[in-house]
Amino acid sequence: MVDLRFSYEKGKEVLKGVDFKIPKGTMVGLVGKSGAGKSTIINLFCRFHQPDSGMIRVDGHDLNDLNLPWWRRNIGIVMQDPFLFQGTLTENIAYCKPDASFDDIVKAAKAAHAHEFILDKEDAYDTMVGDGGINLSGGEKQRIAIARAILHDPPFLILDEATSAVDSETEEKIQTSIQELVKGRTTIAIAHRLATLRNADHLIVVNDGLVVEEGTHKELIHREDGHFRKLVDLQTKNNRIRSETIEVGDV
Amino acid sequence: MSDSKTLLTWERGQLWWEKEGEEGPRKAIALYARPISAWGEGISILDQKDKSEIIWVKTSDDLNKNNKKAVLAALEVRYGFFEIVKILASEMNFGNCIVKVETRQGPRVMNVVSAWKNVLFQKDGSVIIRDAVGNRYRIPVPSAMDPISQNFFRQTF
Repeated sequence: MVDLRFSYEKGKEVLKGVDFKIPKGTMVGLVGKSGAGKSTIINLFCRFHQPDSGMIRVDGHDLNDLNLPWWRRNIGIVMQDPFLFQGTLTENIAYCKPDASFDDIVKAAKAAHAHEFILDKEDAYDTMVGDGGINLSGGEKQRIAIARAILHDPPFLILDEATSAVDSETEEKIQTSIQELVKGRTTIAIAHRLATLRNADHLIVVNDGLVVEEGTHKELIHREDGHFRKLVDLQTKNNRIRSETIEVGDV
Repeated sequence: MSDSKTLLTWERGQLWWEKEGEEGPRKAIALYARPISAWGEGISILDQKDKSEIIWVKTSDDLNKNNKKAVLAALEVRYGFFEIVKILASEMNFGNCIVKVETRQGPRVMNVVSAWKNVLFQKDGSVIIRDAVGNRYRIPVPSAMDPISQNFFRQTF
């Protein structure tokens, strides 16, 4: 990404000249407060918007020169609240690859740690979800989205992987399946829980539309006055207050 | 996941599994991965207690002879369909649909609620119906039933 600038409204720049590189096949974590510009970077990468100036290059090619449907087919997106359409779990997993064999669908579900909870439903892979179907929990939906991405097998991956709404056992399963999913793919992850970014090869800290810090998790955590360290300290403090509040509430 | 070192048995109405050189036998469950749309494809054998998967096969033909016999017996009990040959009467009662049918296994009365999700029209033309207590019924070819049954079928579903 080269000197990316973007504004949703005239005169209010959200990105003010963002520069960074993602080596092929690696995972980069985008970190920053809400409104820092992380989602905008993703939107430009997916070509949902055009930058006001600057450029995104993929393997040396200007992103704008690439065929848009082709480009979108090469990107897998796993959102924190994924969209499930009305249909069976099988159809939902095979959404991006409708000609997939059932064997491949099951392999993807197993890699995403979804197979176990799917078999636990009365109709297993025939379970209807979406309007009129059963409700899946947040963690189950996320694992269906991961299975879908594994089956789709795209070279580029976007992860918006907040897992705050699930219990720790489910979160561990989701993290394990995400590790499986990101292997060998160029991945941009927006993490809301900083601890989950330890697996990223490189972290990019965005603040007020600019990249203010870069490095590995280990490097950034040891920078006493760094932005990343401050975010971690703030989150740790908030978590402590939250858990104390829960304990007091329990009493 | 092959079954080469796992022994499955069907005894006293229960599926059991044990592995060579391990303590056993333990209770198991056999499940169809697609019990509605393709019940022959994808069979999972789980440990009944911790629900871990012991065996996964594409079809029962991938199991050895003895294991296949045990698994098919377990599946028959879990998923056994009543095959409808005649619909004798049907009556709507406050959203419940009471249907008297003749099946290959004898006469039955089904109580079908929420027909929109419990009457499933299959790609092969057959229809699967689940009643309120979870029994499954199948009509292989609705148009092959007698005219009175077909009429009840149209009115009811």
